[in-house]
Amino acid sequence: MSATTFVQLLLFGVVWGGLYALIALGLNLIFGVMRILNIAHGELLMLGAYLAFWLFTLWKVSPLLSMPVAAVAMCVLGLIIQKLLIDPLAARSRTPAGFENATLIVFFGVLLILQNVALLLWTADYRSLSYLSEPVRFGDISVAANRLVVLSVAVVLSALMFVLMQRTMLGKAIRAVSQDRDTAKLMGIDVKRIGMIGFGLGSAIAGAAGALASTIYVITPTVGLLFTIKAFTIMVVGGLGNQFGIFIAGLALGIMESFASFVIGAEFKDATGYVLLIGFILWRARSSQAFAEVK
Amino acid sequence: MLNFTRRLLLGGLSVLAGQVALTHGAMAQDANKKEITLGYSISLTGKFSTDATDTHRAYQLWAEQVNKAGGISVKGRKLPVKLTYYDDTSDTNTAIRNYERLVTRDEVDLLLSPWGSGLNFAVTAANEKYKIPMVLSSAASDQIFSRNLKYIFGSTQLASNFYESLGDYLAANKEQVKTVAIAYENFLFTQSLHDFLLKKLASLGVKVVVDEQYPLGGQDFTSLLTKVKAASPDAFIVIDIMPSAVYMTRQMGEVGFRPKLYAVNIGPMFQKEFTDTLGKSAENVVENGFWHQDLPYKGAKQYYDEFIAKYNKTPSTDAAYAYISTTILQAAIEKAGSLDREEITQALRGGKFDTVLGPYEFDDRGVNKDQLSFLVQVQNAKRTIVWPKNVAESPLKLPY
Repeated sequence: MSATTFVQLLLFGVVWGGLYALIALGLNLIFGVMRILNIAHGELLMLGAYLAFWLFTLWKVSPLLSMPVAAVAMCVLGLIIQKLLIDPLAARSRTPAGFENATLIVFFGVLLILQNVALLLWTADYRSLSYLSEPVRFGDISVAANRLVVLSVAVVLSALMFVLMQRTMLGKAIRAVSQDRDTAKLMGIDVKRIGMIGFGLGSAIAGAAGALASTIYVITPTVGLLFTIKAFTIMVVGGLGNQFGIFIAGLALGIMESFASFVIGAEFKDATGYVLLIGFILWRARSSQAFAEVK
Repeated sequence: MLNFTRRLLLGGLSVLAGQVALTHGAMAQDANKKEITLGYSISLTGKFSTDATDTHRAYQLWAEQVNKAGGISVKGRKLPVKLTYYDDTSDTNTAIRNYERLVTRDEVDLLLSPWGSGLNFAVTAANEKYKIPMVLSSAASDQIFSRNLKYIFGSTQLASNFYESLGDYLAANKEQVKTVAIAYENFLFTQSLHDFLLKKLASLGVKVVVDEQYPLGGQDFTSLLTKVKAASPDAFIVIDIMPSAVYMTRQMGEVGFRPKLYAVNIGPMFQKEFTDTLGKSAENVVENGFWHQDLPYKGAKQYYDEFIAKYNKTPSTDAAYAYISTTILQAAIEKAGSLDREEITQALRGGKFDTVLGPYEFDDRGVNKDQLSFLVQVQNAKRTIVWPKNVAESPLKLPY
């Protein structure tokens, strides 16, 4: 493999990795504050992508401008789901474990409903938009401008998330709730409100990531689950609650996929994540923070 | 004893009477028919929808033309046609269910085919089960016709034939193209094509430097193309179905890969989806010839114009093959002079048919005996016949 090839593959991998990391960070936030596995997270991404697609196709709105719109829209949708489905469930669940199991089923229902609504509204056709698809060249390396945009925005948003969580009172509260709900409550934190903020923020990030993904990927009603699975893998490998770890794991998955499709074959790209996950579990079976949390 | 004989006699008589009634019923049914009902399942949504929608359009256009002319003539009576169809969302099981439904619940007279080798392979089991002839409109995989089925016929050329023309071109231009990279889609038709292409290239002594399969409906080819680019082949052959060729071509520009010869299986025939979308990157893309309106066959240009007039887009060759299968079926019904499925099958088996792709005559497998293989190329945004030389409108231009 020549140096050019290597850098080219690395670049494509990092772009995907950055996007994966952003999605996983949103999912991680929701898991942290609510203790629920939102398996419909990717569906919000899918809706965000369709929003960007239609705004671009109908009115030539740049996906970068659609991104905040998608974020707000998905934030609202996320809060509606929370108010309508999760809150009543939390009020009626007898044990935390019972609540967690019930939310898994509820979110599976949400996933099916959103997918099928999208299927009815927009059919299963492959949609794609052509935004900044002209290549940019650096010597022998060349890459479409939209990929660089995706990478930069993903990195900036991830950094903002990091600052928010580490440097602000809100971030501190969110982390406190994630670490220990009961103690946080005793310290005077409005756990319910933090839960809402966390869920809304996580959903907003999914919407924004969807708008980004629409510029470099093909949009279909079933595209979401693919990203959800990748985000779960990244969360487990990076460590739940560990923002930096998740960001690095995201990049690693993107890079691994890129090289795996080169070395093994294009058909094996999506299998890479599972290999990473299984390998990781075998390697750190008990000591990983992820498993301490999940248990 | 007497009682028993009498009962036997009575029983026999009633069976006989029943049979008479049945035969009479069938004849009366034919004479009372007001229309011919045809059913099909088609992938209006899902991964095959780009290709399959053109098949659907062609069926609809044909039915409209037939009905405008009064219908199909059966023993001197003109019967209009009525099409019934269901979307199978590009899903094999749904397609199978749709055909069961068409035959058993809707009780259609005859069937038209779905789009694509995969679905055709699966649904043709129903044709044998119910003994209903069908002229498949986009079933090019040889395997479909090697199963000894009696009720299927094909309007496409077979996978084994498609790369004859590109092979001949490469044989005649050995100095230009010495190495080839291949990417092929994970799909029955394209895998068959891939097998035959490899054999052809081996016999020519052309070296294959990369040979990669990619997932059905693949969209991200950046790693694959980086690999192909690194091997710097003279020619890049993509064995695709739509729409992956669009993403492939776009990403080739992105990684800066421009081989001397770039050939796709399906692409430029979709003027709007491929050539118009890609603009400059579509120029000089070579495509397997399936059908072309400029070929010297009666009705070809006329069909091309009528399709544009109705749909405001050019017909892909899927649309042409679909039209060919319906016109062949129509001719067979007229020749049989009946809607009896066995008689129509006989008419198909023994007949000669004139179509917008020349004369058709089926062999024992149900495959056209004389198949034309040719190449087209996008030149000045126009799909132009470039090979073989006897039908070429312009020579093949290199580099891509």
